[in-house]
Amino acid sequence: MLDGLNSVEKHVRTVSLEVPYVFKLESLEKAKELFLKWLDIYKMYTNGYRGEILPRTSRHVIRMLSSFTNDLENQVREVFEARIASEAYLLVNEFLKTFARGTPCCFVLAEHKEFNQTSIGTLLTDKLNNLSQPRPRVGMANLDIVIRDIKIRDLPVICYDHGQFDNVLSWPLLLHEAFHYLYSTQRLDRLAKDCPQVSWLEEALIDMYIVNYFGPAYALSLATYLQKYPHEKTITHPSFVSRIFIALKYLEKVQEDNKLPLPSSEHVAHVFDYLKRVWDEHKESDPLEVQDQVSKVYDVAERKVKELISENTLPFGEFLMETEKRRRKVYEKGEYEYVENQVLSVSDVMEYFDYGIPAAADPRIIFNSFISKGRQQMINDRRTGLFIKESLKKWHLKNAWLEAKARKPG
Amino acid sequence: MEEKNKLSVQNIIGRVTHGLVGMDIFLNEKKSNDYLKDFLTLREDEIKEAFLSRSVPKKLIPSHEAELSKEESAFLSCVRKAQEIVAKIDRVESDREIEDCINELGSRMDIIYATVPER
Repeated sequence: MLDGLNSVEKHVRTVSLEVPYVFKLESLEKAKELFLKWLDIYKMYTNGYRGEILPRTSRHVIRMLSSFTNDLENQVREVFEARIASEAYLLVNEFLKTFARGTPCCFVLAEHKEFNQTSIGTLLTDKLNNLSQPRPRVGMANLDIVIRDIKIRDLPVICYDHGQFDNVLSWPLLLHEAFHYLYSTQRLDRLAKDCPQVSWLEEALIDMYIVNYFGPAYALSLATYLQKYPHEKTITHPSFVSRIFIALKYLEKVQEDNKLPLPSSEHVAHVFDYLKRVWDEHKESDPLEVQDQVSKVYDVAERKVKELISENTLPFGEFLMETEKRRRKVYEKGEYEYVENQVLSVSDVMEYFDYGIPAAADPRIIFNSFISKGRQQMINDRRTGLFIKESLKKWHLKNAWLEAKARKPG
Repeated sequence: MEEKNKLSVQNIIGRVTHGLVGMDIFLNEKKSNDYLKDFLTLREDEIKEAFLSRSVPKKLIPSHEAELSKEESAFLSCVRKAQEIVAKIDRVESDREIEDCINELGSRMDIIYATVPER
């Protein structure tokens, strides 16, 4: 057992943290500390069982604890060997920074079998629930202190589907998982007031929230992913058809309002047609009663969702119009030659892409520049993923520069 | 769901191991202990749910699932028999009976381990 523990500990201690972004580095350092504390807990158990007189059964104890250590090693690998590009961290970090009300928020991305959200403390508690009754009788005094410490320093783990690690256009789905964290920490269940009390309400509200924040690009990512990996209704999730229906409701309203500037207004029509086609193919599998519940949830919560977004930023439609306004202003003042003053719209990003130059645009603008029919045909073009990653990097750099400039005295 | 199932398999492994530990401690101390109590609360339906239920997809590696199905009744009857002994452990006259129980339950655990990840 100790050999197994030592090799996992060595693995965690020597794990490479050579990453370009400071906030990512800090998050990984924190994760590393928590995993080492988790190992301390297993060591306490091991030493505790060693204190028992077990001449006939120590082999079974060693085996049991070893199999649990194996799980920990898998969790460590999922975080530290995640293949997703560092720029995905930029996207999620921007989202959390916007909505976590100014408080710095550390998180890690992990390669998993599905999109999911958890935390290191939750993972540990799940494991300990299978280990802790009864505890060894020796040396357990410090155990609760370490467990409490892990919970205090807990870190959200946002998991992506391992099959999607190189699919940049699935990244908006990470925002859905990140929002689960905000939903619980900021007690956003007030959104659920007056909604039909269905078990999957939180999932539905989060889809509504993200689609209203991130726009058609989220709807497209969601439908593309769910069409490929459909799931039935479960206790916590509405069926994939219902989730597409939520996105469809959003797109329908956007089209009705008809306020989006060109070319986004045209692109929305394409996204709507695509989602409608997918929904029409599968709608039979969703009972009418569920569709009614989804519709009701949308109608009841839409205004509150938009208000909540507006507490921190603008909902997608308003954000797009505001971007156009700011862009015009920069041009009118003749300040567009200074890169840090540039405000890029969807049409700018599309033009940059055609020239093969990364664009320092807001992530919402970048992702929503790839929703037209023509761009969607390029979905498997490696150039698209590369362009988005490099654009996020350039945008992050620009903001870091502006922040540094603002801090500079004089 | 798969992760949840893995955790419930670990739970069974943990509680059966506690049974083994408890019997071992009993042989040394000649008195009942918390490990034995934990083992006694393990129910047949919990074992079936964790290892063998078809209601939850992707339970175990398919080849191992078939193998485990064959062992189902043997494992269950072994746990049941061990629980009977543990329930009246204070009145067991010979240590041999408890040692046989440890050996038999231990062998069944070897089979279970073949179906779950191990270092």
